[in-house]
Amino acid sequence: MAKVSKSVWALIGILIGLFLLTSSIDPYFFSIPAVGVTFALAAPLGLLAAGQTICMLTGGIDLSLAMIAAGAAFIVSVKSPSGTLNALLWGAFFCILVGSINGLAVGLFGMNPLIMTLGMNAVLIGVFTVGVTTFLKGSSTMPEILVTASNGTFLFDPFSWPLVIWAVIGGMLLFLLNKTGLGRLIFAIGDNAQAARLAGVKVWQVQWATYVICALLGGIGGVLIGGQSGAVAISLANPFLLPSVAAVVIGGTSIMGGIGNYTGTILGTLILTVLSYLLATINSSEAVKQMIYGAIILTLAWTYSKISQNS
Amino acid sequence: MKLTTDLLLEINSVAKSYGPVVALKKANLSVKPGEIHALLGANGAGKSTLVKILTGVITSDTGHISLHGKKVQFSSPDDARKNGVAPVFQDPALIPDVSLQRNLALTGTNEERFLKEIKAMGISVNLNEIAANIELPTLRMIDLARALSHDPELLILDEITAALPIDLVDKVIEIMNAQKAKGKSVIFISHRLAEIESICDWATVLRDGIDVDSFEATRQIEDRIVSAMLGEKNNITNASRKSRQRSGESKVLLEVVNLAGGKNLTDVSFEIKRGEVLGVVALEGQGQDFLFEILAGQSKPDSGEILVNGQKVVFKHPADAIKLGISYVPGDRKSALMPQRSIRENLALTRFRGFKNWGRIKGKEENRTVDNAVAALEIDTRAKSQVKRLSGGNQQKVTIGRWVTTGFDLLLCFDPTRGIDVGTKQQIYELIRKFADDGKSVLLFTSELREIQLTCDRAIVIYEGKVQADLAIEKCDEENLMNAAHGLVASS
Amino acid sequence: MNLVQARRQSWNIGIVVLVFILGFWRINQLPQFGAYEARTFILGILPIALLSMGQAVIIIGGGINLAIGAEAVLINCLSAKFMVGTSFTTSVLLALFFIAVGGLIGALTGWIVSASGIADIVVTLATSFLLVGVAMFVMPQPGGGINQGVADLIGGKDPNFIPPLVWLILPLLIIWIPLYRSRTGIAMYAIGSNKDAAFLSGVNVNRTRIKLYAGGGLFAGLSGVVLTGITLSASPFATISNTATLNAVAGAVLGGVSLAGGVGGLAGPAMAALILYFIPNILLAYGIDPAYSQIITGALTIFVVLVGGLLRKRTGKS
Repeated sequence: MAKVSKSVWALIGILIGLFLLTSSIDPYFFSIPAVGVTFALAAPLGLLAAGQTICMLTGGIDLSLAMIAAGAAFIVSVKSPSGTLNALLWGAFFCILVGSINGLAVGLFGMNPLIMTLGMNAVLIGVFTVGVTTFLKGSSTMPEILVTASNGTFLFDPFSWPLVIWAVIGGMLLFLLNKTGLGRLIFAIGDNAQAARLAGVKVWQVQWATYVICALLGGIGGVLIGGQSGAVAISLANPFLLPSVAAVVIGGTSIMGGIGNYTGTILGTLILTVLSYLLATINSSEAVKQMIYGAIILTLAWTYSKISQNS
Repeated sequence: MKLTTDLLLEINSVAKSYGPVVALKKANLSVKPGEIHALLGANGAGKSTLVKILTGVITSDTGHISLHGKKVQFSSPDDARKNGVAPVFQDPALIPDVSLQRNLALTGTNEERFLKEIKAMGISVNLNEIAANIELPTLRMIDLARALSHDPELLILDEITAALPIDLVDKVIEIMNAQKAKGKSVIFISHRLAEIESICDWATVLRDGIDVDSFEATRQIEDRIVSAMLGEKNNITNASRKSRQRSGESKVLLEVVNLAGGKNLTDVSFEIKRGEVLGVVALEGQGQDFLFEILAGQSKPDSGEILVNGQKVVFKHPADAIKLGISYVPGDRKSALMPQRSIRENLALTRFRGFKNWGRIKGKEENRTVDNAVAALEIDTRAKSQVKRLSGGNQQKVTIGRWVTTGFDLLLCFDPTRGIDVGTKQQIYELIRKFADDGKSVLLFTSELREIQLTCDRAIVIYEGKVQADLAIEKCDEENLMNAAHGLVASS
Repeated sequence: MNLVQARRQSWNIGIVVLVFILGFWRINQLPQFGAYEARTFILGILPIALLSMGQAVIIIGGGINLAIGAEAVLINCLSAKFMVGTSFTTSVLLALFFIAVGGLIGALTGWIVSASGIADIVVTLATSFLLVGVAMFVMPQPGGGINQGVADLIGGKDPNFIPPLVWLILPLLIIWIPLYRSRTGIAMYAIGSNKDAAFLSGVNVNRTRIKLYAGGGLFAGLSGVVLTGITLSASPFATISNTATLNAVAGAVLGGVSLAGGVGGLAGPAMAALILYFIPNILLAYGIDPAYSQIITGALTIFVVLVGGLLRKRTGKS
């Protein structure tokens, strides 16, 4: 536990450092509204990264998460004429369906999560590309209330609806991971699934739950992205996929499973969001942005590796 | 005192620490040519660290090693092998997915010489077979044959006899004596005191990273070895012999009828009563591991019945067996523990089996049961964070401890004391007796025959897929068991 | 023939059968099938087949390179940028040079994995960003060129299909087969199968890993140069490199390489690339939305890996 705290402090330090750096270049950033916007923009990534966190804790990964997010947003917008709640239920149903297929393939059939979610990603792209012109024809914008939920201020700056949603869900996830049996099992099967089975745990059930929860988190994130960007397109969430994995890695969760937590991911998400703002502010080219992204992931992952090697 | 000039190998004041953990404080060892030298010590005493340093797996912090008076430091086991020091590790160093032939090519082993050696052992191999498809005892002998192909001056056998059938153990002893006759030497690591006495010329005992005693291995050295290993504690032969008076007839808890399955089991039938410790004796590869897996719910039998409390049961998953009170302590600690999680999480794992346990954790209750288990098993909780930092003995206790937190009626223990130091073995024996005294049952497979009389009420012997003998404890002396294991049932 | 070879042969046979079925199907759709059509096939699969082979090498050694597509794109951009308006000899030399650079980048990746102790996936995730960034830096807009003579050497002057066929088979013959038979090759399978056993068998795990990624990088370099030769240009997009990487993984896996490491060969992935090529083309000829081919390819990959995994469980391997 002490090991996690040390790295959490380091991440907080990096975040504050980045924040100050950005503020020195763009003084507007050093204000409550700006902080509020940052949190609001970070929320969708934070939710997708939350899904990746629990997948990676079990030693897996979800490379179809971007399509799940976009797909959910799509379904919600198309179904919105029949009522927002109805649309959200349809979106949730979609997430549970896809998450179940992923989870059961991994849990019951022993499929490698990388390959399974890769294949699922391709399938979803195909299904939605066809669907846009056929059975998913309809509105491509989010209903009013969800747009507010994705952007609006909550009571007063810097709080916003997306921040509140992220905070509530984040809190629930932290509770799940640290204080519930399911959370223990997620860590357990990530560390040694065979031992868990011999101890009587039905590993496939835990896998199933993991990928379904991941998909639901992705779906909520997708709805927020849809609300923030105005229109819904298939490629909506693609720019969030690799960053969602990056945020988890930066946050200190091991991709091999069994160790880590969501607190790190939250900080990783904020760091990446501030970084994006910083790079946009200094008008850096796409090339520089990519290179810095890569450098950060590598540096932090290397640091974690050295820390855990020395202890 | 050995003259330095005579020595084949001299290890001098070697020390190794991993951060704050001292694995070797100051270890010395000297081996003459033509000597079979036993290296003994509890888990955590520094034996495996010393061997790793000698064979180039790791480097020491201080001290030096000399071969024939010349200082050496090996960079890898390959380097060691090239210089005449050939290790045979507990886990055969063969690549599972690669054929034997390519394995040999990898280590630069001469194929002809290898085939000669393996034939002399009476074992036939197909060089095109991949290592993963070969069973462990054969694989161990292949590893040994490979080491011999390099004509080593010093052969290091790390617990090779553990999990070898008795006939192969004899072969290994033959090979060791043959090496000795050629003027070569062997460092023999084993926890089996009987073997040490009969085979070795000299013995060195490690304790807490120091060589505490080194002496000629004459007869009746068992006490000297044990007292050196334990320090003050020296009651292995005494404490476990409590009187075992069973009052009246107890009920039958588990009954196995005509069980067949796996590669070897053809017709196994036996029963276990409540409060009884039933020993299982068998040569390697008789299907006893499969038997345990069937009873644990991990594998399915081909035919036969299992009855618990008189009712027929079918297990589809270990959870089914656990629900009926049957818990499994596997022989391989790696398949039972979660290395990166804490002792507490490992001990409490079994509490989260079903759906209904997915909710909020009851912290106080968990703490209570975990503390109980830690106390009952005397688990050393110094390394509080991760289980992978515990010694082998402590890890084994955690494996058993998980079931103490949950409760069980029948504990399936498969070779629980394999590779465990003498002190912890003693604790495990006493624990098993305590379970029985509390009315629980234990099914115990062990490859060390002396343990049967120390811990069990009864013993069954499995040979050629069947139960060949069902012996009361009085008849369970090692000779009887050994005969029965070979299919020679003693006349009563 | 041992069990390992038997399993690999049966997998390869399965792929060959599928290739023939799909191949005949596709050929039947075409008004005619001659050298021109054959050349189109081979050119269509060559870059991705080479990339799949490179990824296969790395997966066999127990690693994975999520940046292999980025490596190919980078070499593509570098070669297209510097080969513009050069002579034949210069272009050839540059081509060889940049293929070697691909190997070097791979070696560097392998070194980072060894030195840092970070998981392959994470390292190559990071390098995928880095390499795409460098590619964008080298060539901010699509463009570049290549000496036409060299392009013909790579792609074959219409309708000559022999050159690209050579570039498909030659790497297998002169790079892979000697490597497979060598001690380094066995060492690669060793570290993919069981690192500890490999070390105890005298394998220098770190050095082998560097060679492993260098090998994969060579194929990526080849893929990049071939791409320049075929398209006579380069485009530095992250989406292209990511798609290429994932297709390379699919190709390797369809080709019988196990993600667990230590199992598989390179001939399978090369042929699997053909499968991944035929499917969308067959569907397109029927006027079916190419999106359906995405669905089929994704489902096929899942199905093949699923069946392969179940079969492996049956034969006792865990």
